[in-house]
Amino acid sequence: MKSILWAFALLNTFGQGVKPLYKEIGIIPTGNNGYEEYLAAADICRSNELRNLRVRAENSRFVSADEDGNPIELSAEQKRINGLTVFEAKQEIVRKFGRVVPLIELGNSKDVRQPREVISSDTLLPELSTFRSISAVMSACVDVAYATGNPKEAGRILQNQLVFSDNIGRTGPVISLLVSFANTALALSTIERHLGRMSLPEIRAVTAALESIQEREPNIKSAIRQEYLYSNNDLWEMLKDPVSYFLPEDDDIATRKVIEQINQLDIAGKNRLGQEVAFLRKKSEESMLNVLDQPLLHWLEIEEPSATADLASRLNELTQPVFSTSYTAAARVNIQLRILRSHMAILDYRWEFGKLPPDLSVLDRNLFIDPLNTEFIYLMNGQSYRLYSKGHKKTGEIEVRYKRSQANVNREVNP
Amino acid sequence: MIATVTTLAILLSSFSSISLPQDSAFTIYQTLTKDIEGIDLKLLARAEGFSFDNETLAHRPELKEIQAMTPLEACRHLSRKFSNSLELLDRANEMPFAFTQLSDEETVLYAVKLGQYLRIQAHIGQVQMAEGSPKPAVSRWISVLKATNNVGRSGSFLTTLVMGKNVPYTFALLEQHLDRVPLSSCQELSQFVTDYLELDSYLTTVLSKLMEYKAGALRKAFTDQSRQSVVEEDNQDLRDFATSLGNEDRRLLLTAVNSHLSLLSKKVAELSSKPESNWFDQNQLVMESGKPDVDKVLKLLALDSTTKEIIDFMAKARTQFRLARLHCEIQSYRFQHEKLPDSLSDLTQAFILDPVAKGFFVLERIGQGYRLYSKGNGTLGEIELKYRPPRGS
Repeated sequence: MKSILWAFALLNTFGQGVKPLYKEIGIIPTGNNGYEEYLAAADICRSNELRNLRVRAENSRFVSADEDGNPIELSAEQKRINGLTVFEAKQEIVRKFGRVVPLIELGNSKDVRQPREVISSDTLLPELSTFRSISAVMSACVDVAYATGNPKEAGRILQNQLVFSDNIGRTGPVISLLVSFANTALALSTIERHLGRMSLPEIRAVTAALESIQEREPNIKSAIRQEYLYSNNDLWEMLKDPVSYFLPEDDDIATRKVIEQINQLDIAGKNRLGQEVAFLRKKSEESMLNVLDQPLLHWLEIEEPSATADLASRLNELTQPVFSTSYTAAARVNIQLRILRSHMAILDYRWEFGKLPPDLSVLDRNLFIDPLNTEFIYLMNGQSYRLYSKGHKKTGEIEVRYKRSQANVNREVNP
Repeated sequence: MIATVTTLAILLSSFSSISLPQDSAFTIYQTLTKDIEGIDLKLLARAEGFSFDNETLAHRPELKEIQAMTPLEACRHLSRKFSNSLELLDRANEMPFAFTQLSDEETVLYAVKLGQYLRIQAHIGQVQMAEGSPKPAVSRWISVLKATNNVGRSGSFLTTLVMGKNVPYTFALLEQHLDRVPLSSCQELSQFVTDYLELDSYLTTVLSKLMEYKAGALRKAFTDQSRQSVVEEDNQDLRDFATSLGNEDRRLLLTAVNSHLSLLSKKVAELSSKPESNWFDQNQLVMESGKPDVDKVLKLLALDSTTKEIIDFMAKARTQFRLARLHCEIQSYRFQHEKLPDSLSDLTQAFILDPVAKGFFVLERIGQGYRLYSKGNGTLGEIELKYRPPRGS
């Protein structure tokens, strides 16, 4: 079965004349790393056809004139896609790209880790942009599964989508974490769209995914460790040639001054400076990781270490990774997943009793603890309800609901 | 209402029998209901969300176990016992139904028992929905509705009313799960409703049976010396009128009225063939013989509350069938376009017509959801698919 999935993935890649991602990034498949299945799935999704279909599946259309009214020639394929309903576009995505689902499922069943031995600031991560497409395909599969009366299949896909999204965040530096958050947001918006129709198998599947995710160490920890590791790899290269490292992107007075001071050092001086910066980084890494062992509220109040006047400190400030936005995003996603778990408890109650819980006292209250406040807010409104966290000044109110901006509704896409 | 129906059944004595086929819809339905025990009805009550009070539990400790179940658990218990008989139910639904060899009281009891069985089946659909099998769930609800129509169409007006309770009951469950009805089930349900509406409304049959009953009641009222046999409240005016007449006058009046009864049946058939909006004017059933006493009796026959109840019930049931079909259209549209229709004009034109209200159904957008209803007609009020549970449950 596994080899068949791989063969399909590779055939697809060869058929399009595109170099498979595992070759592009220079790894030798081991067969025991789920990331390899993710790469095979990404190969399938690197397709213009999918890109076009996603436009329509996301309720948009290609426009035949630009903002100034100048005509734009649409391809025959774009015209055809414009004529599809949203659901037809999704069905086509499922038909042509739905085979990524068993690949992701297979990948999720394995240990998932970063396949590259070394990552530095020069390392390209081309698969990350396509991981989002994989998640979009999975969302389409869920929508079609519900429309065609296969909610159990929808639940299985949602479970794998959540685990896949989370696994991405465990495999690399902060950029992987951010892609993981984006994918999780897509999974959450899909779940939110179907919350009202979820039956018990999907509730169980999503709950299982959430429990496995919540049992793990927060992904941001491994992302920070790896980010420091990768930036340390860069440190010595930077000391050798600071001009190439910083310029022209960081062309400002402070940076130029640091470059000048580094260039004045001899080899021994540079070694000493490197060791000092590495020591400072180790300290700030420990400090950043220490915050993650504290309650979630502290994540949002983290302060990046500030520099003192000495060269090592200023160099450290210029080159060390910046995490504060990642901390906020990590806290928000953490709360969203907790809220989703709470939704599952509410929906389970609704199935068993045929009505919404009158209040949270009839449920496992532990599920409703809000790490940023006291408890999630549960508001009944007739046959429906709203569940949310009051959040924090940095996050605002948080709920599972994905707030689609008005611009995204029926927006038009310039091809 | 049930009390009224039962009283009427006791009064009826003229319906009788033909031979009983061994493999008929009648016998199959009867077979299906044989396994229903008292405990199953308690489970059904729990499945419907009923809670037993402390006094009942003190006297019936065996109910404590049921009380401790969630409604869905009660449904699951019923499912384990009754889910396999659906095939047989579907077989019976394909056969024409006729009541046979039963007294009227037995007829009503048959309908009541079958109604309980169908409610159990409807709740098994609930379990299937919960367990992620929406297509079989909707098919099961359609089977329940088919059985309801099959028996309701062929029975007396009493059984029509008893069986008729299953229509809003089943639609209430459907209404809870509308979002979960997949595209293919929308099509299946829509086709079923279209087929149902294309058949005659069977109002003629039911009202004719009612007129037949009323004629019997009239004869009794005019001939029975005790004059106590007509106790049904709908005919109180008729009884009072009969009491006020002398024997000879009553005999003459009865002869005159009897001669007009066939004409009344014709008027009933005419009424049934018109669109539902015309059904509510019962004055169409009133005839004038030129003789004031006869006219008075004919008017009492035509304008009683049971006739109105049957007309209202039939009109409401047909409207709910139409609403179910339109809900399916809306759900299909939602799946196709990932949004609700802006207005009913986005949907199949034939489906948005509301014959009861003489116009169109009403779609109101409420937040992310919507409300769909008929404006109804006169005293009928607004009609929705939503079921309002009886008081006390």
